[in-house]
Amino acid sequence: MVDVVRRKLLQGTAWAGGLAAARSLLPAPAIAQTLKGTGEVVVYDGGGSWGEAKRIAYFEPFEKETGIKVIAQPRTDTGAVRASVLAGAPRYDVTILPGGKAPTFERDNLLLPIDYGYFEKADIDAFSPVKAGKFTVPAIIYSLFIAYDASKFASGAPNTWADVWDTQKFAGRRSLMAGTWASDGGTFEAALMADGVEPSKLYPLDWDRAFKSLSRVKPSILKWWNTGAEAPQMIIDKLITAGSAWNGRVSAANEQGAKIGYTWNQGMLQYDTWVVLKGTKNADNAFKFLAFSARAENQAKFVQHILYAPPNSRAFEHVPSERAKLLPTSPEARKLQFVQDYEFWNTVSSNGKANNEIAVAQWERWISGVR
Amino acid sequence: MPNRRDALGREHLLPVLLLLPIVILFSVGYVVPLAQLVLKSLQHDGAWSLKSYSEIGSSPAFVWIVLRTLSLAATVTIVCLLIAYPLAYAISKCPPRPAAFLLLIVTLPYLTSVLIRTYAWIVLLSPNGPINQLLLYLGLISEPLQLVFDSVGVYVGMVQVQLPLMVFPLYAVLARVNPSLAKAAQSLGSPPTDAFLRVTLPASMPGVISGCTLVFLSSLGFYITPELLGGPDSYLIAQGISLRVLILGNFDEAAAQSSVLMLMVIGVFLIFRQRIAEELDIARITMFLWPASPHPVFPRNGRYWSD
Amino acid sequence: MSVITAMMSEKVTAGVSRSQNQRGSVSVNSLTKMFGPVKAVDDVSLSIEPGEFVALLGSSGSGKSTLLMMIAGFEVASSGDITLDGIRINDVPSYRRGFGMVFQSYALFPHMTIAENIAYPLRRRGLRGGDVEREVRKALKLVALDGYGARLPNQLSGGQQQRVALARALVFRPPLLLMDEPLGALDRKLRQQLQMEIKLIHKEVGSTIIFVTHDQEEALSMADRVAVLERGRLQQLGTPRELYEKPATAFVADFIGEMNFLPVELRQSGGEVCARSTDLGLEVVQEASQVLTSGGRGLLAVRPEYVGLTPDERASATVLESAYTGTNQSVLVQVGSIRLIARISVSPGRPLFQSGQRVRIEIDAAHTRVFPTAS
Ligand SMILES: Nc1ncnc2c1ncn2[C@@H]1O[C@H](COP(=O)(O)OP(=O)(O)O)[C@@H](O)[C@H]1O
Ligand SMILES: [Mg+2]
Repeated sequence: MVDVVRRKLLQGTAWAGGLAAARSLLPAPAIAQTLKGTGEVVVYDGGGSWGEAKRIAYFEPFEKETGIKVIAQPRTDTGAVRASVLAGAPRYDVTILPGGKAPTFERDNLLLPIDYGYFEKADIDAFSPVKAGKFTVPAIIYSLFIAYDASKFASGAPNTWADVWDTQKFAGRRSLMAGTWASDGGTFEAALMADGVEPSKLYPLDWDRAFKSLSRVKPSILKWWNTGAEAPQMIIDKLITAGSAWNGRVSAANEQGAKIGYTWNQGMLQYDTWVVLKGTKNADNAFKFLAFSARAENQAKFVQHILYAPPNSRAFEHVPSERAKLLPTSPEARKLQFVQDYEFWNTVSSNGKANNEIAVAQWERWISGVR
Repeated sequence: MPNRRDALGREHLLPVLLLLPIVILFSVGYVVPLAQLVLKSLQHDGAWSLKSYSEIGSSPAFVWIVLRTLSLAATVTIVCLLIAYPLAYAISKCPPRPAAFLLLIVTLPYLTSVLIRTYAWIVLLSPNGPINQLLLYLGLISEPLQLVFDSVGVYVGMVQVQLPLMVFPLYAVLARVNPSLAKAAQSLGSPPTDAFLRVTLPASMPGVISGCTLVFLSSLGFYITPELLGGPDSYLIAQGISLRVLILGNFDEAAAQSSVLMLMVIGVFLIFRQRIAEELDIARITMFLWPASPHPVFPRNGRYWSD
Repeated sequence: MSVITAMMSEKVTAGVSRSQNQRGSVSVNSLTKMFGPVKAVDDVSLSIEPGEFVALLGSSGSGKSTLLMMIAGFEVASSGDITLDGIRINDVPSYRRGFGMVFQSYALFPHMTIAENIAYPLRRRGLRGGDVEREVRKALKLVALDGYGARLPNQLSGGQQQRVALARALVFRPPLLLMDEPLGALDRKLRQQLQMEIKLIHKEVGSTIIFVTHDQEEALSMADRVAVLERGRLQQLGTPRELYEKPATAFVADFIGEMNFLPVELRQSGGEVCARSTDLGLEVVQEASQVLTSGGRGLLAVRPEYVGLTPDERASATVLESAYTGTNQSVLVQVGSIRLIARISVSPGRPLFQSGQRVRIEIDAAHTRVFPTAS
C-alpha cells in the first residue's frame, strides 16, 4: 500500500513539513535534555478506557520521573477547543486532535511548533507509518475497516468494500459512518474502493464516482452511524450484517464476548496527533510530556491497555505477539492497509473550501436528493 | 391614558427592582450571545459580508433540509396533539389527587436524559426488541417490523419527549374550562360530540395553540433523537448546524443557519405570543404550585368552577 | 318585561306558550341516585304542576343538584322514574329533553358573543338569519340587556352574565326551566334584584321552573312550592306557608325560620297524643296521625312569635337576655332546664322586658307541633 507520508515528503507539501523539515529546522541534540521540571501541564484525557490507559502509561510515570503535575481534562468538542484558543485561554496545554483536524488548526495559527529538543532521536526516527510533524506528534493510530457479523458469514466473509456493497452475495443491511464526518468516516474512500478504485489511486477523490457508488449501497443502509459504538452494537443486535467500524471498538466488543468479524484488507489507517495549543503557559512541560509519551517502552505499555496502535514502531519490540496481532500497524495488518490522506482532505480548492467542507456540502445535497 | 403615569410610579419600583437580576441574567446569558451569533453570521473571514447567507440561500439542499425539518416538526406536533388532547382531557376530569399523580407520570420522561430515553427506544423498537417480539408472539406479524432507524422511530422518540410540552398547557386550559359549558350546550340542543366540538374544543383553543407552538418550536431544534433513531434519510437543520460547529469549525455558516432557524422560531412565537405567555403562566403555576396553590386561578380542588 | 308576551305569541318554535301551557308537568317517582355507597338522592317522589315555580331547598350536599341533574338528564337515576307530561323520560338524552338550564357559574360560551350565545339553541333548532336575530333581540330586551349583543361574556358583570344565561335558556321557550343556584355567585343586593326579575319573567313566560337554592329566604320568597331535602330525602313539599306553619318534620321545623324545641313526654290515648312538659306545666294534645308515635319522649316546636310573656313576680321563668329590634323584642327566658326565645311585638308605652325579670310563659297550643325524638 502507498505510504502517504513518503509522498508528502517527496512533494514537499505545506502541511507539516514532514520529518525532514522538522529536522532541518530543529536539529535534535545528540543527548536528550533531562525531562525534570516543575509546575503542571494540562492534558487531554479522553475518558473511559482510553483515559485510563493514558493515566497508567503516561500521566503517572511522567509525574514520577519529572515532578511535573499532570492535570487531566475531559473531552471537549474540537469547535470548543478552537474557540478557547481564539479567546486566548486554551482549555488544554497539550491535546489530541484527529489527524484530519490538526491541519486546520495549523492553518489558522492555533498551534505551537513542537520543540523536538526534548525527544530522543531514536524515537523520532521510529515514527511510522505516520511521521512526526512540525506542529504534530502522532498519538495513536487506528483503523477504519470492514466489520461484519461473524456468526452470519462463518465461511466466506466479506473481504473488500465491493463485498460490503454486494448484498446479493452477503445478505443483510449495512451501516457506514455518516458522510457529514467527511474524512473521519472514510465513507468516501470506501465507496470508491467498492467501485473498483485501487487504494493507491484514490486521491484526489472523484466525488461523482463516490456518490454514484454510495447511491448503489444506500438502499441497504440501515442508518449512517455517528458514534464509534454504534456500528459494533448494530452488528451485535443483528440489525446489520456488515459495515465500517473502528478497530478499537470492535476489539473491545469482542473482548466482551461479541462475535464481530473484521478484515484489515482495504482498511484505512487514521490517526490522532498531539498538539500544543497556542497561548499555553506550560509549553516546556508540554514538550517534555510529548517527549516522554513518544518513548517506545511507554507506548508499549499504553497498548497493553487499549488497542490503539503505537505511532513509535519500535514499541512493537516490547509488545507480545498475541497483542501485536490485534494492532492495526502490526506488520501483517500494515501490509493490507493504507494511511488516509489528511492532506488531501484539508486541501483548499479554488472556491476557498477545503475538501472536508466540499464533501459535507455534497453529502447534504445528496442526502436531500438534490445532488 | 391615566394609567401611564401610574405605570412609572413609585409603587412599581419594587417589582422593577426585583426583576432586575433576571433581566440582567437574561441579557448577558441570552441576548448578548444571540446577538453575537447574528453578528457572526453577517461576517465572513472577519469582514462584513452576506456571503454565508448567499451560500445557504443558494443551496437547494439547505432549503430542502429546512422544509424537511418544518414538516417533521409539524408532524410531531400533530401527533402530540392527537395523543395529548384526550390525555389532558381525561386528567382534567380526574379528582385532584389522581390528576396530580397522572401529571407526574407525564413529566417523568423529562427527568431522564434525552440520550438515555433515545437509547431505550432503540432497544424497545429494534427487530428483536420487546415490541416486535410481542407482536411476533401474538402472531400479528410474521417478521419483525422496521420500527427503529426509520421515520417511525423518530416520531415515536420525539413525540414521547415532547408530550409533556403539549399536555401541560392543554391540561391547564381544560381544567379551567367550566364543565357546565358542555352541559349548557347539551341542554340547548347539542348532542355530546357536537357540544364538545362547538364549545369545549373552542374554549380550549388557547391551550391547543400554545401547546402546538411549544412543541413545534422545540422540535425545530431537535437533533439527538432524529440522529440516533432516524433512518438513512433523516437529516435536519440542527444536525447541519451542529456538524458545522463541531466537525467543520465553519462558524460563519453555522451562525447563518442558526440565525435562520432563530428567525423562524421568533416568527412563530410572535404570531402566537400572547397565547403562549398566558398559558405558560398557567402551566408554571400548575407544575410548581399545584395542587396547594392559593392562586385564585387554581383553587385547591384544581378546578375553576365549583358547581 | 312585557316584551316576552309579544315574543311568546310569535310562532317560532314548537315550544310552549301560555295558551298551551298544559305542558311542563314534571313528576318524579321513588327516584334514587347512588354514588358508590352514598345515597345522594334517596327515594324522592314529587310532582310539579305545569307553570309552577318549585324551589329545591337544602343545605350543601343534601342532593339538590343531583336531583336536578337527573331531571336534566345529566345523571342517570339508580332507580325510579322521571316523567314529563306523563311520559317517562329517564332514557331521553339531555339534548332531546329541551329544558332550559341556568348554572351558578353562568356557563356562557366564552368564545361567542352574547348574541351568539343566545342564538345557540335557536340555531340548533334550525332557525336561520333574520328569525334568529329577531328572537335574540327580544330575549336581550327581556333581560334588559339591549345593545349588549356584540360583547363577549367576559366584558359583562356577573349579574349581566346571569341574565344572558337566563335569556339563552328561555329563548327557545322550554316547557321546563332548571336553575342550579343561579344567584349563588352574586352579591346580596344583586341577588334580590334578580330574584324579583326572575319571578316577573316566570309570570310572563309561564314555563315550569325548578330552582335549586340553599337560601331559605330565597326559596320562600320566590317559589310557589318548596321541596326541602336533607341527606337525599325529601322532607316536605309544600307552599312556603305550609312549611312555616305546618312543618312535617323536626328538620323542616328547624330549617325554616326560627323555632323553639321543648322536650316533652308523649302519651297516646285513642286518636290523640298528649305532650307534656313538667317544667312549663304545659300539656298539648294533637291528633295521633300527625305525630306517628305511641309514646316516649318528643319535642314540642313553637315559633318565638307564639310564645307570650307576662311580667309576674311569682313566676318561675327568668329573662336572661333580650334584644330590641324596633318593632319587636326578642327575649331569651329560662325556666327549669329549658331556654326558649319569645318574640314580643313592642307597643308604645309598654315597658320592655329586662334581664332578671320574672315572667310567666304562655304558649299558644294551636301553633305548636309535636315531633317524636328519633329513637
Ligand atoms: N359525581 C359524584 N360522585 C360521587 N359523589 C357525588 C357526586 N356528585 C355528588 N355526590 C355526592 O352526593 C351528595 C349530594 O351532592 P349534591 O347533589 O351536589 O348536593 P347539593 O347540590 O345539595 O349541594 C353529596 O354527598 C356529594 O358528595
Ligand atoms: Mg349543588
